[in-house]
Amino acid sequence: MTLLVLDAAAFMLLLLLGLGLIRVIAGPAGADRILAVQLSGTTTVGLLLLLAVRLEEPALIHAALLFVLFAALLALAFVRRAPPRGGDR
Amino acid sequence: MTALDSLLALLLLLLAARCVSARSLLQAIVAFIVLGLLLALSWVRLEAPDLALAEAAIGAGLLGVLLLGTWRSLPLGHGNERIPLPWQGLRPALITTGCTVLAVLLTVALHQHPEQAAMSGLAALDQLDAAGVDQPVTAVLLNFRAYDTLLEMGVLLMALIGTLMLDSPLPRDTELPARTMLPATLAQLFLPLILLIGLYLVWAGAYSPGGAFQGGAVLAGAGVLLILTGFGEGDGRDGWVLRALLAGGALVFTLAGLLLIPVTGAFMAYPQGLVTPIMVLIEFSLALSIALSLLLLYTGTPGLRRRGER
Repeated sequence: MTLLVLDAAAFMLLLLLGLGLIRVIAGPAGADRILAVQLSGTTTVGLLLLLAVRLEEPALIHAALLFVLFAALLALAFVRRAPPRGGDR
Repeated sequence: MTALDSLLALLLLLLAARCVSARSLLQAIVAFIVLGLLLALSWVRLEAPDLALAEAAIGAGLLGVLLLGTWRSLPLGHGNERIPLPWQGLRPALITTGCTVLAVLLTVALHQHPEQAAMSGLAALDQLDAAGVDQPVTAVLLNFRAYDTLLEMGVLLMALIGTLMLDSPLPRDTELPARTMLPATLAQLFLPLILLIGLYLVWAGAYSPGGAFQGGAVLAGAGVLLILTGFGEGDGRDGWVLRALLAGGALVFTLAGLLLIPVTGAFMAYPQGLVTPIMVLIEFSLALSIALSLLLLYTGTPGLRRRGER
């Protein structure tokens, strides 16, 4: 029963990640896409934590931790330069 | 789980197609980063947590930052023009068709290949007690196939030297903005955590997925954070210390292999009892070299300095 709930939750999360891809692909602005990537990253963290419990593989928690840390780096790399570029699409 | 795997495969294909058919550089980069996330999940489903960790640290972390940084550094107007679709024009169309045919043929060949028992993998698991570490992947990388890992370290150094030999294609006027409040706080919050987790991953390689490559990539991420927040920057000059640290991984690895020949009688064989300390020493020196090489690949300069120093 617990396994079924975990499986269903993981599937729902991946489905939501897929829905979030609409913003990754449609945009329209560059910031929209990067925010959608951040959302995908957060969903992936959730998925990894769920799978860590489901597959009894604690090392996946490390992978989730890495995604959390590097998400901030990614956002920082995107906004790094002060003057916004024209037509960030 | 089948439903999850099918959806994962579908999304992977969708994003891979998006990567090659995106109409601008940023769109392609963004699709590639999300592809990295899904690849990590795929490695998890393929029961390869080591690769999931590597993908998390290198694929989704450093590579995304590297690509976004390059995109940011392109002169205005560059990288914003629409990229033609892969099938527009004769040459791209030919390449696309060729790659598709190759992919189909490879899939067919893979399915016709008779399934073989992984003899070397089983042999490695049998000998795990002699390896000095509890994690089979680390045992293979640092002991049973140490030669491969040493050469990989050489490849990374070669890549760095090759990059440094290239003249920077980017204009010199792409200076970073002055330090701002938010990123400085970010660095103070995140740097200790990233360093801690990087070192922990190197250490954890002995008994759980992790190791020099994953940990080194995380440590490189800490350096990238310092550069992004304006605490450090690339320097045109390098020093002996930096060079020693860069070569340290390969040197320690080779020396440990050579110096123990009189004791063990073979290159890269380690005496019983001393295996674990030697492994840890090699692991940490490799991690440091990998971290610095990746960081210098990011800055594209031979040296590093604190911001403002000359």
